[in-house]
Amino acid sequence: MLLQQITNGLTIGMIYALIALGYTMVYGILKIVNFAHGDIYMIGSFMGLFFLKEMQFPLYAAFIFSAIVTAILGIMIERFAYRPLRNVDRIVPLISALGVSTLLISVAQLIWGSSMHPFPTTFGSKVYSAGDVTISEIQILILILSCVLMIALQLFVKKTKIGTAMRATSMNLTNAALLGINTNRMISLAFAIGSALAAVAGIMVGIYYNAVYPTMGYMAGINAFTAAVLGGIGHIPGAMLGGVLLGLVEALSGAYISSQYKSVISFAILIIMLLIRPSGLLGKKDINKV
Amino acid sequence: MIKLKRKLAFIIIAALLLILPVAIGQWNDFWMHVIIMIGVFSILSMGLNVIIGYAGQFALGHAAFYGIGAYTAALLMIHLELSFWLVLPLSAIITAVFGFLLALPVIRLRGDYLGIVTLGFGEIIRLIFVNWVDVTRGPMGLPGISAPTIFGYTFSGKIEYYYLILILVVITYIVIHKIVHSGIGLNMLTIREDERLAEAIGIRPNKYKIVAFTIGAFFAGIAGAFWATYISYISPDTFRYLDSVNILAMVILGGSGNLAGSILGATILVVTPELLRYVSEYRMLLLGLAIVLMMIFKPKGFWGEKHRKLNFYGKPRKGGGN
Amino acid sequence: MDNILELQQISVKFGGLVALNGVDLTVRRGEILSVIGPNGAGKTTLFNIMTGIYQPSSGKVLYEEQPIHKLKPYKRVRLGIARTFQNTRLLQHLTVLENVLVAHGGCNTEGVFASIFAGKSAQQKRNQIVDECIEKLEIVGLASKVDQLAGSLPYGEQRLLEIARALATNCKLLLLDEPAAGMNQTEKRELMQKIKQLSKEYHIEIVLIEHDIGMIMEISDRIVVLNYGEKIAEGMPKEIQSNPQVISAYLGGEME
Repeated sequence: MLLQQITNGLTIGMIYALIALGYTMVYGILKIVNFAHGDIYMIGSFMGLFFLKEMQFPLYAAFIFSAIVTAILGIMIERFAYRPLRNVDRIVPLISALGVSTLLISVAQLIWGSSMHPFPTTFGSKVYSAGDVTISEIQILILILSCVLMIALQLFVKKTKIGTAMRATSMNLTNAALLGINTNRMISLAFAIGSALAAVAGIMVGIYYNAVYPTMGYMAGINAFTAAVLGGIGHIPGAMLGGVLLGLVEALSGAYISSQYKSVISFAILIIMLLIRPSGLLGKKDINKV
Repeated sequence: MIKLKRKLAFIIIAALLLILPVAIGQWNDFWMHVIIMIGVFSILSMGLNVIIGYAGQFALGHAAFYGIGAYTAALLMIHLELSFWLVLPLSAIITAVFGFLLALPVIRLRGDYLGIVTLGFGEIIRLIFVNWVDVTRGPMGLPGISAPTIFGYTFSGKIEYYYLILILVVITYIVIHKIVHSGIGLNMLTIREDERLAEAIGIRPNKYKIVAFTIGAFFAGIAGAFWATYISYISPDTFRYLDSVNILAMVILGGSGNLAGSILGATILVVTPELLRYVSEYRMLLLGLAIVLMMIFKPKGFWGEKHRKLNFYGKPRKGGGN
Repeated sequence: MDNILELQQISVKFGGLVALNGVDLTVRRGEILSVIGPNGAGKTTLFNIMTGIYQPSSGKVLYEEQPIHKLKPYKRVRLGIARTFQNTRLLQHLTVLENVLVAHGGCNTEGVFASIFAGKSAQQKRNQIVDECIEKLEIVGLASKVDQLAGSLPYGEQRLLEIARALATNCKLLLLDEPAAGMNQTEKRELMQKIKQLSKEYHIEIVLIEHDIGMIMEISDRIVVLNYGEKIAEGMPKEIQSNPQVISAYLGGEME
């Protein structure tokens, strides 16, 4: 029972971590919370559904194509809804983000209706068991693919030239621009990568729960944001740690405390974390200068 | 001359509001309902305006206060069979206590973090409404909330409720107007503009943030109590995160830091979806689009702050004393 | 009781950077004390320690012989310490009068219920507050502009408005951070007059950060010189002028 819950918790935690990366990368550079990120993940999931069902693509192609389309969506959202607001009061882009979120949900409802859609794939239903623990094919895919993507992202950010430019941009936007870095391109890139990862997460969740629906981004977004805050927002390994921890807490508290209140528990973690240590488990404390 | 015009405009508006139900109510119950909803949301958005527009605190859980007010009123009226006239102030006070208690820990946070924590608070409250079935009956909601009675006469039609909400809106407007045009309002503005400056001239920012949350919650409690008795059935569906966003959009659309703007915002966002009834599936889409476009082209809302008369202390005073 | 403010061995560190290192400083009653030093010497940090924006890493701040270094800024204001800012911090879209009102204690202690049910006595109190604020504006010479927007004032007058605002807190000790920056010679003359007047007539102790050496020498009773976060000299203007260390560190260097 316990091991089973840990397996399930890790699976969902990896999903949170993947989505959390989008929050963390954007926050790292622009210092805004992209409230629409959960809905980008939802669109990514629907894109997967579209490529699988309507276009009859194989699964891997559905992953790739929906990641690309969702990345473009992310770039467009930044370009139209956030970039014009970069130098105004911080509350303005936030409200704009709320508007984008509402927009994405309603577009999804218009196209696909508000009911749940099953995911038309046979992949993932195969189950392996060892002792008391059973693990499905899709869970294995989630665990492996998430790890691979996160390691790849970490290597990209640390080892490549563009990655270095991105890190410089997130340290200080103005200085990076002075160094000749095209900061707008870096911001677009952060949105693109974050959105693509969210799309991958969206498809995997769609297969895992065999359900896609327009409001699925809301709770997932909140949980992923909690994961980002838990690990230290703006911090890539932090997002991973936060996601895994939150997934475990949710699975265990759902199993042993109360399944109805499990989202209350993740909200409570978020609130307590922001109040006690807003820099997160791995983040550095800000030096508050005048 | 200008003063006379203002007075005249005021009298005309007052007269129109008073005879409105006679004009509409006779033939259209539906539009009476819409107008009553404008009143409810005007109270909510004016209250939120104190928190966002004046004190500058980005709060995203206003629907939770609305819900607390409604559930408190419903429970008091169903279980204790208290009169609505007692329940109204009681729910407002209890909701204000929630606002106060929420504010205590969260005022240290700023901007997006504050927004997310208040959003989380709102969701926790809604989940409690959904899951605490013994008390709230969960998703089934609470039916059978009684109507107010006055001198033995029980409210039965929309017209009575119309006058009730009109009085509540006017009281809300006057009270909040007085508060934000007092020293308190001036201090809130200072905190909104420059918190460090506020501290450097002797203002205690936390105190005024707490005051703002308490006031905002108080009026949300009034709106909630009215809603409960008016609609006679409440469920968690009315107090979702999207409803908080909607109230926020009213404040922003009308112009934050402007009370009349909040009423304008409430009017626009209550009436437009009804006008768009035939394309109702596009409602949310248009709302989202409107918010984004508004932020890009008119971030200060339709009636921004500059339209507000900046006299915190009665008449303008010209020149020095002598 | 000769000293109104006393800093004892104040050190401030930001990360590895030492902004102030073991600074002792006293502000005596009835004097105008100037703090000078090259850019980055720690002058504004010193003000931030006095007003409570920063906590010292070590050392004590005594105000009227009471330790205050743990108090929050707004509490220190209520004890009587007020300041102006190097870059003016005004509420640009509020009027001159309102900018002063915000700092008035009476405006800060008005209660919620008093504001809703403002009766005659409350209105009288408000009128009195307004009159007091106009008095402060008269001191700095802005009383004729009470209804103008603060943002529309010329730069020099904005600085004067900051002083009026500080005065409205009913301060006993006033910290002026480069009050003459951006002023022309006539304006500077007038400003000096006013600072002297505040000190001699209104008995407000003044600590001044300034770059204009001529002005400093003329107005100050005493001068403290900071360099790289350390106090390198202290004394009467004449002593400072002839102090070789000061000359090499400051006067000999870049003049502003």
